[in-house]
Amino acid sequence: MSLWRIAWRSIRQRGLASLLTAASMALGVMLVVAVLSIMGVIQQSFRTNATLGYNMIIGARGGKLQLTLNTVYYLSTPIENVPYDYYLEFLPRAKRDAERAHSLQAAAQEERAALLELQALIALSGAGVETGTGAVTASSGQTPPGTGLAGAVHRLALDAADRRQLDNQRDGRFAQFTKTVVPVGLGDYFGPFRVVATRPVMFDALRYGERGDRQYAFREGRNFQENSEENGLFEAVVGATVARERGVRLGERISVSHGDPEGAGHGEKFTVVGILAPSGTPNDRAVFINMAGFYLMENHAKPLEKKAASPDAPRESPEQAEARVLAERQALAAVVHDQEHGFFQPLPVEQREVTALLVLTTSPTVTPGLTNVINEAGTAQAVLPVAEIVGLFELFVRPVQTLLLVLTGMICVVSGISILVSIYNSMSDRRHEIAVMRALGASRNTVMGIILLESIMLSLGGGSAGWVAGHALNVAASGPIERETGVSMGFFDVAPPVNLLELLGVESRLSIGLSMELLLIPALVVLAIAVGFLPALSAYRTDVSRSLGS
Amino acid sequence: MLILEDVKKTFIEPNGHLLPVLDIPRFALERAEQMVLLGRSGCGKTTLLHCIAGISSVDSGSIVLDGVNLARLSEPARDRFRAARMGYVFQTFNLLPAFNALENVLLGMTFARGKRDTARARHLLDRVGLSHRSTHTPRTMSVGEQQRVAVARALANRPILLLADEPTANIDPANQQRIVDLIRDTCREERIALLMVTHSMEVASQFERVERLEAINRAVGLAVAAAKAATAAHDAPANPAPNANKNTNPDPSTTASTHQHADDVATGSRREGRS
Repeated sequence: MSLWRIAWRSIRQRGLASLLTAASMALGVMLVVAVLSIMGVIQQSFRTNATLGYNMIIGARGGKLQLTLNTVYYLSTPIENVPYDYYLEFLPRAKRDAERAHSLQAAAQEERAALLELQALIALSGAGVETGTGAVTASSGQTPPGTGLAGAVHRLALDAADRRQLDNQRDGRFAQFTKTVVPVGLGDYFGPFRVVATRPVMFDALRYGERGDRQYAFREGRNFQENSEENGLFEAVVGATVARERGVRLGERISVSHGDPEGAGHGEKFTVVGILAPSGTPNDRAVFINMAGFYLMENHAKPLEKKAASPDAPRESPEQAEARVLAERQALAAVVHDQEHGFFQPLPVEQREVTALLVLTTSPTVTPGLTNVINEAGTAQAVLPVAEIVGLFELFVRPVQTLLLVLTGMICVVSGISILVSIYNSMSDRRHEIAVMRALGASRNTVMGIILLESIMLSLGGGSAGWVAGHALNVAASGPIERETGVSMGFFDVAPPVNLLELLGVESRLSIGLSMELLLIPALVVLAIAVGFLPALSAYRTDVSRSLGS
Repeated sequence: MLILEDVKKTFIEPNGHLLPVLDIPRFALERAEQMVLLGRSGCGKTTLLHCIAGISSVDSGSIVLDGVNLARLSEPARDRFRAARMGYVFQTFNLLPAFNALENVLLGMTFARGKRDTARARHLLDRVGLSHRSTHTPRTMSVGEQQRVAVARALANRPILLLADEPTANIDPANQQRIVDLIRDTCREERIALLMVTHSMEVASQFERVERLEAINRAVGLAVAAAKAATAAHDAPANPAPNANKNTNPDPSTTASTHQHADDVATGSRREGRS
């Protein structure tokens, strides 16, 4: 009969007391596992999101942390918006020009150029002579001012100036430092989930994961398009958690609410064309809609403001002002809604805004300089999200982690003490049994070993039950945890590894990664030996003669 | 086979006085010999068995069993020797309640290195007539059955010496003779020397060799005298009556108490000794 079996029989003999002791340890270990899991979730969430696929966030001036929180984690409220034109400064010439084609300025200038050209031709041909004011433009029916050669020359000069402005085609100011830029517009909700208005580049170009090498995958469907044949500007992609929680299916048409989760719903509906595979990032908990469609929703167009005339600007004649306003109205009607074909066109650039720009610079070396330039210019602010997240982690998460570790240690010690009390209390009853074993030939070390084995078995048995209970608890809580953090937990998922050397306070470049849960096993054995030592010593010192007589 | 020479054992009383318990110039037991040791309570019978078994150490002298002087062995070596060469039957059986009958017998083998013979354990249970009760725990067995299991356990390691400390004291008369026969027959068959302590003259009368401990232990008289002296010293200040130290107190309860104290002292300790 092995000593293990003898110890086990002793445990069984004191069934209820042993069960309660083991339950105490189980409860302790369950809490430890839960604490470690929470720490693991925090760390994993942190690590996963530390590599975002971009290294700079541009947004309206305000709190850096707030900008990071609402852009990276979709938490808190957005600060303000920056003009869309600012976004164009990060684009190369071709893309910038293409974007600016959808501007009121461009439309009005085209209109006005055509008008001036017509007027110039009339003037030069002498058809609309000369001293009077009776000439009427073909397009407006208005009487043009200042006719005659002098007037024609003047108009041509204006035309040339307009063209120069139009010809201001160039790379964006920050384009040469920008590898990828993703605009995002926030403010709408789909149920409790954030709606992110963005462009397809979000999923085409950005990578995530600890090494930043994982591309977003679609569990179903595809990425949304800027302007698709079947759905126009109104396509959407939903995160994995959103799809699961809200039961969203491919092809479903969803409408989003404005401002807050209980806000009024927009009339426009977006067709879901893709469902993201779980990524463990906050993107699992968001809905992504095409930015062009986002702008066309009610209250999303920036109201046009009449520019205050600069003292230095060339004075606009009443005719010119009238022609400009007219042209702008016509251009707006033309670009927004094609009444003839019944579909929407993108909103003019002037009426668009973005909440933030996610920028991946061409090189880490240009990042500080670019940050300074942007911040000093004053239009917007640039923040480095990883630095903000690390700061947040060190400020809030690290102390919580330390506190949890301390609590974990205390839980273990309390559980261990319960084993000590249980075994020690049983010693007075067991002294006679120990004496009998000694009389049968068991050495002092043997009976001491039996008590220690008993302590270890109670500790490991309770610990195993606690581990199972803790992981069952994790599985039970995995739904809400995944919903809140994007980190999913299976039954056999152990806490992520920690650097043992760092944990022990050893400063070294070496790293020995080991899950804290695996450390739990030797820790329980050491604890069991420590708390079992006192009763074991009592067994060791048992006076056989005296105890046999009792 | 078993030879005790000049064995002395002294206890230290709580007041610091030395109390001689054993002073045996010579005592011997031959292989396969069976003998009974008689003696009144407190004369050191159990202490003697404990010293022979190596449970207690002696102050001086030698206890040689099968050529091995136990007095010179370290405690762990004595433990191993006891497990391998001696069997012990207690007055109160001392079966471990967490184990069934078979396991209690096997437990006797567990502590002797290299010996674990389930077949022998079953054979011994069969020998004591309990093969059908092998899976029963002591709690479900009668006292007679428990003592038979204890005998089987004592014989498990094929000892050369069986020490039996009043094995029939707690057994009903009907079963007493059965236990005695069982022990004696088994020891005879396996050529095991038997040293049995008993108060029963009926049991003692069956043995060829019967000795009184008082006859071989010179310390008995000293212990009793020391006990009386200690009692007198203890009573004197509290009871100044002239006849107090003559133990003429008519109160029977006080008398009994005094006798009990004397017995305790005679065994060296109220806790350690039992006879």
